Amino acid sequence: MLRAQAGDRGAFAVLFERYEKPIYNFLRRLGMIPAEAEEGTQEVFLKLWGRRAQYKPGGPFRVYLYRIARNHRIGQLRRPPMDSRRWLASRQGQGAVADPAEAVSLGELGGKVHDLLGELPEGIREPFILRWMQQLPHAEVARITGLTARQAEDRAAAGFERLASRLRPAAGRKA
Amino acid sequence: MTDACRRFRLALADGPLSDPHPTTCGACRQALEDAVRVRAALAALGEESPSPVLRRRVMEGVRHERASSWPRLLWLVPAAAAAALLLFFLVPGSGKAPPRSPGPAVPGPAPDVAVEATGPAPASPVPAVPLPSLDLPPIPAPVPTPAPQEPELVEGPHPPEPSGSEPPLRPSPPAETPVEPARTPEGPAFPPSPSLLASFEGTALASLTLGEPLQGPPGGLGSLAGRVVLIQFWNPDCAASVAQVPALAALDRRTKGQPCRLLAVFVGPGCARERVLEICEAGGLQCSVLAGGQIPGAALGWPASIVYGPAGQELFRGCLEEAAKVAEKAAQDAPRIWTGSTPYERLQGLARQIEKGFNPGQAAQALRRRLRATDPLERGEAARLLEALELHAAARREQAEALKTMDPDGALAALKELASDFSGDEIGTRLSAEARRQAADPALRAFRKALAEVDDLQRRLEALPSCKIHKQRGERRAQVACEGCRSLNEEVLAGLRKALKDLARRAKGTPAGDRARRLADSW
Repeated sequence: MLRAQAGDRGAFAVLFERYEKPIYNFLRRLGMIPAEAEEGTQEVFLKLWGRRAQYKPGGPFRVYLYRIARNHRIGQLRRPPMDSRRWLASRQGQGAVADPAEAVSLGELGGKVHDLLGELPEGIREPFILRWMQQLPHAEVARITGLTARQAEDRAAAGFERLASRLRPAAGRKA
Repeated sequence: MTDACRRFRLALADGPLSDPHPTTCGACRQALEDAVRVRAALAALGEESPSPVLRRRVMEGVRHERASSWPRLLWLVPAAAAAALLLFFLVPGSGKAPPRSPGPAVPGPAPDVAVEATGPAPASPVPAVPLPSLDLPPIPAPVPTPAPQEPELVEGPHPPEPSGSEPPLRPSPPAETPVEPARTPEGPAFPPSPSLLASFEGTALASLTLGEPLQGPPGGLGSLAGRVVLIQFWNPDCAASVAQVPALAALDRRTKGQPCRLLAVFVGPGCARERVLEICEAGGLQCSVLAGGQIPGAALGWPASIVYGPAGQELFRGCLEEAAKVAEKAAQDAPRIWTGSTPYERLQGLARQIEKGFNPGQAAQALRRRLRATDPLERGEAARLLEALELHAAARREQAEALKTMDPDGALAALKELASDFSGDEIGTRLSAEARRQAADPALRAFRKALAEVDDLQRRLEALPSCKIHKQRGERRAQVACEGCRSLNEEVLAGLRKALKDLARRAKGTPAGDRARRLADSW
């Protein structure tokens, strides 16, 4: 990042190569449709480049990057109007798999997990996704989400509990 | 829960554990089983990949991004501070801490990483077209014009640098080639160009640095490979330059379809982009117009022209009339080079096959083999075709993705953008024809109409009065419980289903039609 900060586009390309997929998947799992997630990823990296002068080394770079992605997501949530594509997607339930082709490609289990993730409250979903899907340590999850380490641990655990309880076989599921 | 249990559960997300703790703790054993199940479920979601054109879009945005806007905005800092102070003293209670920026997260200490605020709009990804000052020391400074909109035209051709050498008005010897290969600060127009640059290393064309496009496709050195290139230097404030624009346009029209590429490089750092485009439009000039750039070699006044041969060698520099003759003659000779020798014949055949839907993987493989050829011309042409093939494939994917996300306009825009990337080329002509066909395609028109209908129904849903739910976020509107909304939802759904079925019938056999049918069936 320090090289990119100095204006090295090659270094920036390496950063993009490394974090493009994680950021895209992070935005997707937060409920964005593919086109939005792609646009979001583009915004995140262009913002990273545009404001590279403001980057201060001292913490892990990915925390900085995920914070930008998270801020983008929050900005997107605040945007009131919704175009017909997104509305069509939302017709089948919030965060549900809207595209039948996508549902087929995800398979039954994938589709179910997708829906379950969509049902998690926002405050739990983020730490859970960062911890369980992006495999970030609790300390980094806390810094990205602005929580204390303990809060991040508890929320990721709560997300895990909710998902696990829904995935248990019917006989073993708690009442 | 003991400390050991907590430690164990916190580490569950990290993967298989060697901790023996669950052997002695039933609850943790259960948690471990759950973790295995959750991990398997999350793995079923898989890792998705964004479309390959994302990289191109981002890197293009990065390339076109201006230098940091901070220095230009520094004056805002004292102004903002003064405004804040004023507000502090004038508005009662404004000295209190501002409310925390809203977001899904609960309050917690702000991290010590430098992060931008969530509020402001992101930096625009649309790259502004910079107007760099031309880095051509031997060229005389432009005539100072107080008002760029209505510049005063200067009579006659502009004189060259008094102390510099006269521009040679005769064909330059091809042996005089600059040492510096093409290494622009901005990089080549498209990333995979090292092989292409290598194929031209040492030639005059390779030491050419192209400026930013004001009009027409950027092209890059890849689009110049194996062609006769005529570069015209001109200045919109110079009467003689402006007078030559119609002649340039005529030459551009004459050389269409020939292996000849015309570039107009405008040199006038003080001139407005609009003025340049106005002149081009008035003169009917449709070729690429670049702002700035770097041409090595002798001093040039404007208007002046340089002609490069298909092998990258400089053929001529001087006045336009002579340059046009040289370029046209060279272009007439060029087809013999292209079709007479077997490598070019093969490559052209390959290009035609690519355009006809030839297996792209196989074509790319064949072209990569050509990159190892000893003949620099063959290498250059192979690189150009490979570049075209890659861009073509990427744009196809982008178009398919746009259609998949029910965005026929986006798909058409992607196709048009691609066609403009290759304008003047055979691929570009074909793509333009396809874009025209798609624009007039009744199925896609119907698809657009259906989408407009959806928008209309959505607007009606939003306009329903006296329902608190409507003040909530858009996603929730689909799940409202009030009577009025529910009935409208039904109405909207019925309308949509009908519109989509109609679309599926009319657009049968196209991706849009298939998608409409699937959506209609799924409801």
